[in-house]
Amino acid sequence: MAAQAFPVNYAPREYAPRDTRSVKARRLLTVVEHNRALYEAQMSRRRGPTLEIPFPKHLDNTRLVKTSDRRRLREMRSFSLATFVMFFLLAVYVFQHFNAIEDGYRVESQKQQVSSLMEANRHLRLEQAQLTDPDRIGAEAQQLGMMPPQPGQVVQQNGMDAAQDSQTLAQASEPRIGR
Amino acid sequence: MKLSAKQTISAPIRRSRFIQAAVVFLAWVAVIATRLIWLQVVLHPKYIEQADRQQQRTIDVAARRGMLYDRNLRELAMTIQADSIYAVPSEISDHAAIAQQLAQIVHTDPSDNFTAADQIEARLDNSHGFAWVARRVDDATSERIHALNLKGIYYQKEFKRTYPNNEMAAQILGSVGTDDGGLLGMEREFDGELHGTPGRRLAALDARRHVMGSVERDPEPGKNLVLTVDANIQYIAEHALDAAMLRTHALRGTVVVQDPNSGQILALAVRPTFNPNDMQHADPANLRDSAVSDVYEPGSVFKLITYSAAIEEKLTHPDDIIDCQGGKIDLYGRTIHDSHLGLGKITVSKALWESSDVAAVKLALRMGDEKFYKYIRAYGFGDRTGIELPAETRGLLRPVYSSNPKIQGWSQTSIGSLAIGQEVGVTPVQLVSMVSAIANGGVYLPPHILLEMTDVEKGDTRLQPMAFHPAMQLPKVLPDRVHRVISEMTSAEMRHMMEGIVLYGTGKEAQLNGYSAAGKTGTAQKIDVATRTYSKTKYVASFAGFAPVNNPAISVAVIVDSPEGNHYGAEVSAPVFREVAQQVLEYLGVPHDQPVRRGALLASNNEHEMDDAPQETDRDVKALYSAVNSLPEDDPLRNVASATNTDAQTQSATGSQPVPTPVKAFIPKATLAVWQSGALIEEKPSTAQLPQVKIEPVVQARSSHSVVVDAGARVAVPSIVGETLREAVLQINTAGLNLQAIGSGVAREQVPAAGTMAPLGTQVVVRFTR
Repeated sequence: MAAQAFPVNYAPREYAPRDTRSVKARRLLTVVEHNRALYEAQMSRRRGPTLEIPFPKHLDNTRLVKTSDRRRLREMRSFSLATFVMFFLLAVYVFQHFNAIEDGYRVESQKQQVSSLMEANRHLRLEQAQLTDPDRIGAEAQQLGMMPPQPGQVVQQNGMDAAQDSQTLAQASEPRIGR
Repeated sequence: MKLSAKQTISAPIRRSRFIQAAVVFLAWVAVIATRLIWLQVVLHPKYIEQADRQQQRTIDVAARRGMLYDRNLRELAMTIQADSIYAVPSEISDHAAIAQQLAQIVHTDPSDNFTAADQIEARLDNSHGFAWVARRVDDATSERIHALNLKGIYYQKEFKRTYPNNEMAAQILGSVGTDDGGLLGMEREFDGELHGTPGRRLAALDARRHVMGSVERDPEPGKNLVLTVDANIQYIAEHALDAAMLRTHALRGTVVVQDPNSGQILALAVRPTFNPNDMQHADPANLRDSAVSDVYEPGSVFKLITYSAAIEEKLTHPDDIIDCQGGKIDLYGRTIHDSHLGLGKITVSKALWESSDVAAVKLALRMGDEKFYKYIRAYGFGDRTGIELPAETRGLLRPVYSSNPKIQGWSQTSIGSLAIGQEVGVTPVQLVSMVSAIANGGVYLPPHILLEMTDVEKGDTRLQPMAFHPAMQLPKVLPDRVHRVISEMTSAEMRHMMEGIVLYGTGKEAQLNGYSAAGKTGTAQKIDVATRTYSKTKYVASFAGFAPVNNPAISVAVIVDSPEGNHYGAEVSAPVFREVAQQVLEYLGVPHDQPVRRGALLASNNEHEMDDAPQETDRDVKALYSAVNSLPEDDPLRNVASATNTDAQTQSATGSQPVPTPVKAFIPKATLAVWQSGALIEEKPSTAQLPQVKIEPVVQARSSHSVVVDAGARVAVPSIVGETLREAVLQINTAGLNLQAIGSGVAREQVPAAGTMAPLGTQVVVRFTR
């Protein structure tokens, strides 16, 4: 009787000691058996000497019909939706927050990069200005044995129009002079 | 019997226990809530402030100083970032060793005490948390310090003002101090605009003190200035002036090149000069911009005013005959001589070619004091030109009549003196503006050196180079302060007469090859302080002219102060005009209006016309001194006078004879000490010299009549000038010599000179500057 009330999983066969098992396993099974004996003793003491006879009672619930509570359903849906929206917004906020932090690092890094590139550009401009210093070029040219060009030796494409150099002694109209 | 798994044993909860538990929990919640309210509400401001202090950092961001460009947008002055090195002394155990180690790298200039080992060590010893090691070092030095990886040594970026062309246009550009404030030149005049507005950066930091994000009030960089100067023309002017200074051993020299049709200054060269990158070695006497702050008596160049005014007033005509009276005229008891004795009745044109003083005096007398004075003022003399440079003087010009007893009006003979350019003090810029007025058709245009002030930098499409192309005519609309002085016809006649001076008169040395030129020579005596009269040994030689004659593209004024040997404007200054004008016109591509003489670079006239010698008179200079009293308080001539008062007091304390204050206004400050000590000869401004390296000659005579011959190997010292440090080290080491480098950048000076035969291992001292 007591063995029947005991769950199937606790069948003695399962806990029977085997020679192949280790000493630790065997000791564990002894403890389980001991606990089971104590439990059965407690149960028998609680029942007393009388027999317990089970009487099956048939309950017929087929007449019970589950009616749908539309209001409740609507409330539940609203609640679910609100909860979803709330969690969604929270997720969006958290996502944005962490994204903003990452963006902050990225922007700072790019700002520094832009700044250093601009500074490098300035250094290059300085170097260019130093290298194109007329004094330096003049000295270099002299070292290479170069001479200033003879008058008329250099003809500049963007030079002034010769027609401009005509004789003008007077102007047709006098320029307006500001006061 | 089967035991149900869901079977539970429950007992009713006692109400009192529930209440007790609830009270406990409520109390607990209340305590927490109270604490939260205390922290979040009551102490909120305090913790916010504490958090800000911990998480945020406020950084003041200095504004970048504006750039200075020439008209072709070549950088003349720019600001870059450079490393400054500092130490946290508490993190350094051995101050002396670290200071020694650092000084070996940063102490490149022996005259710079700031970076000396003992000074660095003293700063480390005197401070706990911060001490400068070196400021604004170059990249190479910074890299060498980085490579040492020293504990307690840190770097900070600071702005460094750099002038890529070194001495070029130094007097125009000026310089800045350590606090980035303008001290001289345009840097001083436009300091407010160039300086900009500092910004502030509020940076949020994370736990590792990394910047997460920042809120910035960006610094407003200073405005960029585009000057009217053309760097190539400036170089031509400086190069020609350098050659003249070398040739004449003059005390000072100035060359001003102006566009006569706009008044824009294309070049302004002053010698001796300074390197704004290396102000530590600059001689204070060279910092003064002689082109606007110093005056001199123009001498015969001033006759241009006399002649043009007389023609304009219809009192004479170039072809009229004027009697030069054999080269002598008596003016109220004072005799004025011509340098060419024997000139009789000649045309007015010829009188100007020969620079006749008598003719000039007679023409001035025909005009009268007031009319003549009116023309002098109309040409811009006696008033500041308004050029955008600091410390401009208005020059010395006395009024005809003066009610102020301190200011002397004209005497009876003043008109005679002024007609030949005496009793008046002018600046080179005033002089070139006068010549430009004659060249452009008779309109006085105030000189300008600032072309544009802009927020954008080179590279931006809104800022384009404005290369100089001679306009050959006045602009349609002229700015304020422009006024007509003489008519177009008078101007044309004056141009023709001035061309005659170059072709047939005193200015033959100014003839160009392929271009017509016009100009006037001038030679003026300097003031002898000791005798309070005009010196008989010191002169100022000048030449002012323009080219080509019919459509002038440029006006040039050349002033050479105290040349040695030949002192006439025709021989000293006219050749400088020729060299500058020839090269500038070729550079600008101005078409030739004369046949080009092939085979000779520039014509040299061996046959010298006797120049217009200054009047050798015994008059004193009181009249001119009195003009100093009429100057405004902020005039640089007055400032020099007041600055030298202190010197005079010192002198009187030591018992030497003080120099009268007005006289000092005419003397460069550097020469005052010599003048005060009684010496008459001005001392040339000294420049910081490199230490002399003594090289024993190969053969040395001993006192014991023996001769010691050095049999050791000798090598020729290579030329290092113009080389970088790396290149210099390579060349010196290859030659078997040792290099002692001073400064950084490009080699400018070396001792011993290139070509010297020096024993192996000799130390070659080279100064590098940027």
